[in-house]
Amino acid sequence: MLSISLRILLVVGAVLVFAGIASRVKRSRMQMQDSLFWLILGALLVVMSLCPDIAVFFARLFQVQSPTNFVFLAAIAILLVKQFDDASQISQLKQRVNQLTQEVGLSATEDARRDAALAEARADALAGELIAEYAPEPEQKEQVPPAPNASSVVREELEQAD
Amino acid sequence: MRVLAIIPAYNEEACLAGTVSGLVRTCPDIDYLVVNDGSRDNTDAICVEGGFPHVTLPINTGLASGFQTGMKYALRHGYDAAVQFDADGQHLPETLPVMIEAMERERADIVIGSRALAGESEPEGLRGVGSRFIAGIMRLTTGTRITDPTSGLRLYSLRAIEVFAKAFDLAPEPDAVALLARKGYKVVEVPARMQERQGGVSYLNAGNAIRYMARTSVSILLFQWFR
Repeated sequence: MLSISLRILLVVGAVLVFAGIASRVKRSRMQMQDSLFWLILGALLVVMSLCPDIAVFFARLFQVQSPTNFVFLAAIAILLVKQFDDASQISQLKQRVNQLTQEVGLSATEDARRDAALAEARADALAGELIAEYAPEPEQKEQVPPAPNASSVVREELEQAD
Repeated sequence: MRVLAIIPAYNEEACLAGTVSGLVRTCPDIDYLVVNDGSRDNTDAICVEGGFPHVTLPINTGLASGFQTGMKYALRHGYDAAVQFDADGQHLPETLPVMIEAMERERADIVIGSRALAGESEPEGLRGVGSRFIAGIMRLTTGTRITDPTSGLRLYSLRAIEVFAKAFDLAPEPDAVALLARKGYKVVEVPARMQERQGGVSYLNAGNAIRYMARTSVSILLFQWFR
C-alpha cells in the first residue's frame, strides 16, 4: 500500500506541476507542445495517488519490494527517457544555431564585397560622366566609358537601379 | 589548383596580423579567409583595418563550426582544396606548397603536416601518450598509419571539403581523418616543422584535454561504425 502521506505528497507534486505549466505557458516560457509531457506526468501522479492499486499491481509484477519503490522507479525511468530526448533536441538546436550563425557571417561577407564593388562601379561611372561633361573628347561625347573594374553583373545592377 | 587557407580565429588579436602577413609574403598565390568565431577582443577590427578577407560570426560557435564556415566558403567559391591554418602562428606557410604538391602528386584527399616526419621528437608526458594512443586506434580501425594524428595542419581536397561543408558533427580532428580514411579517402603525410604559438592562450587545459581524448576515442572506436 502507498501511505496516505505519500499519496498527498504526489497530489501536491501534481498541483505544483500543473501550476508551473500554466504559468509558463501564460508567460510564453513554454510551448504547449512541450507542456504535454508535464501534463501527462502530473496526471500520472494524480492517478497513482488516487488508485494505489496500480502501484501495488506493478510492484508485484516486477517483484519490487514495496509499491512505494515502484513509484520511485517509474518516476526515475520516465525522467531518464525525457532527459535522453532533451539531450538529442539540444544537439539539434546547437547544430541549427551554428548553421544560422555561419550563414549570417557568410552573407555579411558577401554583402560587404558586393557593396564595395558597387561603390567602385558608381565612382567609376560618375568619373566617366564628369570627364564627358567637362573634358569632352570630340569623338566620344555620347559615350560614357564603361567602368573598368566593375563586373558585368554589378553594371547591370546599376543600370537597373537607375 | 586554387587553394584556400582557412584561418579560424577566436580572440587572436595578439598574433593574427603577423600570421596573415607571413602567409601572404610566403604564399602570395594562396587565397585565405579568416573566420572570426565571435571573438570578444579586437580580432574583427584587425581584419577590417588590415583588409583581410574574413567572415565574422556574430556569436562563438566553436572550432568545428568556425572551420565548417570556411569549408562552406571554399565550396561556394570554387576552390579545389582548403587547408586549416592556425591563427596563433604555429603553422609555417613554407609547408603549404609542399602539401599542395603532395596532394597533386599522390591524388590525396587529406595531406597532414607531420611534426614526427620532420624529425621533431615525440611530445613528452601525457600529450605524447595521448597522441600515440590516437594513432594506435586509428591504425587499428582504419589500417592507416598516421605519425602525427593531432597535427592541426591539414589540407583537404574538394571531395573532403564537400563532406565537411555538409556534415552534421564533423570537427577537423583526428576522428574525422579516421572516418574519411575508412571511407576510402586517401590520407598522406608530409614533414612539417611547427613553432610555439606566438601569442594568445591555448585552449588545452586539463579539463579540455580529457574531454578531447574522450570524444576522439569514442568517435574513432565506437561511432565511426555507424556513420
